[in-house]
Amino acid sequence: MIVVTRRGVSDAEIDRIRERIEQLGLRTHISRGEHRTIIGCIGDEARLAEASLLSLPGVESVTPVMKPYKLAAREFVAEPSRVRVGNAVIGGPALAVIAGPCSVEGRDMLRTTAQSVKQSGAALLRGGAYKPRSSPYAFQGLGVAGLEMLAQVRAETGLPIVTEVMDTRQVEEVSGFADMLQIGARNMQNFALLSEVGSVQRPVLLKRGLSATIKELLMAAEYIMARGNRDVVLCERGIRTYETATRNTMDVAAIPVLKRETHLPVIVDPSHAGGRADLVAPLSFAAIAAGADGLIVEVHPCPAEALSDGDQSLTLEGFGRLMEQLQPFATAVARPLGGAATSPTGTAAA
Amino acid sequence: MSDPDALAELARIRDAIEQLDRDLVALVARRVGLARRVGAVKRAAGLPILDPPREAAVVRRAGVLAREAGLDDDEVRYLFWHLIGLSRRAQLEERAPDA
Repeated sequence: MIVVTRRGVSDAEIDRIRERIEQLGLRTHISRGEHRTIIGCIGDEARLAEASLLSLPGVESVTPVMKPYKLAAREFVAEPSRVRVGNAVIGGPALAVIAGPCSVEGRDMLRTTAQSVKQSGAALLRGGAYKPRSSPYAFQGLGVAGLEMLAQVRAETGLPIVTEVMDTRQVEEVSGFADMLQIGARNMQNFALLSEVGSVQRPVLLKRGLSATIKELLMAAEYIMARGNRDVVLCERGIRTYETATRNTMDVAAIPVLKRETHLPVIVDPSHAGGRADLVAPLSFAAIAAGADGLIVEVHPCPAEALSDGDQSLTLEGFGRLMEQLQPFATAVARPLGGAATSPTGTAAA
Repeated sequence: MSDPDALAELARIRDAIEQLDRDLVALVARRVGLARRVGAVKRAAGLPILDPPREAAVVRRAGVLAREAGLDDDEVRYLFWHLIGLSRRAQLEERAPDA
């Protein structure tokens, strides 16, 4: 249920409306837009029948939200959400590009990659310190040493860092380094992990599961948001189909559907979707044309020597070319390509 | 941040924050203690333990005070729902009140 208030509603009137709803054991969530304020109700909506909300001063309309997700629903907020990550913004007017290696393999390779992708226009740096691999014998990541390298390269380049957290036991440690926590596709329905990242004040990049429906993706986001963390960015990264020519099948239609269903920013991972470096550019063009708010792209100084996902990584030059080729698509959707990142930054700790 | 004066100032402010955190935790403990007493009184009087209208009023008051203090009322409301959760659990505990 959402309550839309009249223009010029006072703080006291909003307080009264929220109290009336909360008296019935529900919780409220407020979204103040330029023209209207929306009060979202979470809980047993049947109880609201006795609240006679329409009779309260300041209330313009009361509408049920017939969806299993509420906090993530587009109707729940006045304006689409912008998620600030360090000095970058995802979901703002500018398209945000996250780039970097699949996994952090060493300080030098990370530094070289970060400097280069920044030069080419990336706003954020990705890099895995903990890697979910299909084989227990494959490279599992550098762990805390990798996190320290990411933090050092952030200090040098100013690029906020996005890195994956795989386990509830890692959340605190990774949050100490990362500007944004990534939940990988394989963990999209790890509800214990979703709850844990919902409790920390770090933006979350939530990747769609390999066989998850759009509704399941949104319910996963709802899990995080229900714990108080509203800074969630969704990522379409390809789903599993019968097609074997590509690693996954990029669900282009998911982008406009998500943009209609939710206020959360939506980005696309063309590297995992196609699984091949030569597919990254065309899939990126499609993503931007379909309305994505940004991209997350794997880049490696020497993909042939990469310890993971070398086939789908762009070279540094290849990423530079991609950013140039993206320009006309960005112009077509009337959004600048960038997303900020100019001065060095760090995660603050009081 | 290598200026010694700035570092000394940072250390002073952090000391003050640390002291404030200690005070905050002590206040939360006092609030939970009072809630426990409320629970015992309600039980003795045969009153229901859960009281959503009272909780809604507490949160509303906290929001108003937050605005007056120049804080984001929604963030403070959120903090108070957490505090109320703590207090509610304390009230539900079947034990004699402390002091």
